[in-house]
Amino acid sequence: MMSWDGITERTYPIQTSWLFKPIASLILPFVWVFSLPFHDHKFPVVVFFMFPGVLLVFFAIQITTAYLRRITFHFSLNEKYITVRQGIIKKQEKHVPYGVIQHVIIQQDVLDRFLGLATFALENATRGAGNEDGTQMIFGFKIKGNRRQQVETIGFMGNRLRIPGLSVANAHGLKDALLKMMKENPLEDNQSGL
Amino acid sequence: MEIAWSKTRKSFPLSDKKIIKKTLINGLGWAALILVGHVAAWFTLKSNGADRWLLPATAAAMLILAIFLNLSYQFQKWYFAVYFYDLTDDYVVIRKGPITPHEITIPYERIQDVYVDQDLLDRFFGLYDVHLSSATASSGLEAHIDGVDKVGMEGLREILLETVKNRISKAKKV
Repeated sequence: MMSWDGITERTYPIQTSWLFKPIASLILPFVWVFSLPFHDHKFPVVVFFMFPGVLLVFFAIQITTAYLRRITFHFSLNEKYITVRQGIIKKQEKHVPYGVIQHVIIQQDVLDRFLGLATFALENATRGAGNEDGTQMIFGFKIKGNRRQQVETIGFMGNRLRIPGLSVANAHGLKDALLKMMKENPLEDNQSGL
Repeated sequence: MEIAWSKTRKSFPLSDKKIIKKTLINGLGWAALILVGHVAAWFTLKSNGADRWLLPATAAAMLILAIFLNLSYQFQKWYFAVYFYDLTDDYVVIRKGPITPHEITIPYERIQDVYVDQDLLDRFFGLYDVHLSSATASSGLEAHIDGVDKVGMEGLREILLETVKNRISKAKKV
């Protein structure tokens, strides 16, 4: 019998391999740049030698950002709602009652399949307090959620809560646990329009 | 290729005309692209006086189109085989995508509407798409069973509406 008790990011962890996903997606473009001097003899050699350094810095930033996102993301299933805490600098916390969750999603992109990972997501019917349509202000600029980061979204944005980088078994385990909690905690006022 | 059968898919199966329809849509796109490329190649060859290459160029264009159509057909067959949908006791589960699988699970109590549509090719092939929406914007895009025939569409629609009605009545009594 599955229970909500003890279901947190510790029991359903984001896998370490997820940290390397943003890098893996950039391997092909980088291989192309590395091959440039071999088929374009006018390509400046200085740029070629600077490239590994730039690459290392870029990868380090990507991995550090992903790592910080992972260690600052927490979720737990409680008796009546799911609690999520997130944010490296700006701390956010959200409580979503099971009764208002509209549906749950499990998805895998190509790299997920290669790395044996899956993303679990759920949605409620709000427009998302704090982030209107997933936009965020960074240094005074309004930036769309999808373009804001190379690293995949973790946690809630708008009306969607995403937990990427789970093992496939854990993603399905989390789905089963959550569906059970949704069934046991219906809203008194039914939401269906039919 | 093994079909992802469920109780619901056995009762209300996807029509295999869906494979042809999707291949045709992709094929039209590829054909337009190859035609544009071919016309450009034709004019280039003509203006350079290389008339003897016109026939091989046409044959190559036809061959490329045939390869793309075949690849598209094989992919659509694969997509068709892994397409899974099931109306369980508590939820509707829809899973699609052979390479990047995507699964959505909606409790019946959250279904806001059921609607059915046909595009032009659907009308030609006698296919229907059954959509169900929860209160989110994304559910309309993600939660639909596309490519059933008229009997399948009517069966799915009836069973969905009936189950939602029963679930609401039960919830109200409690």
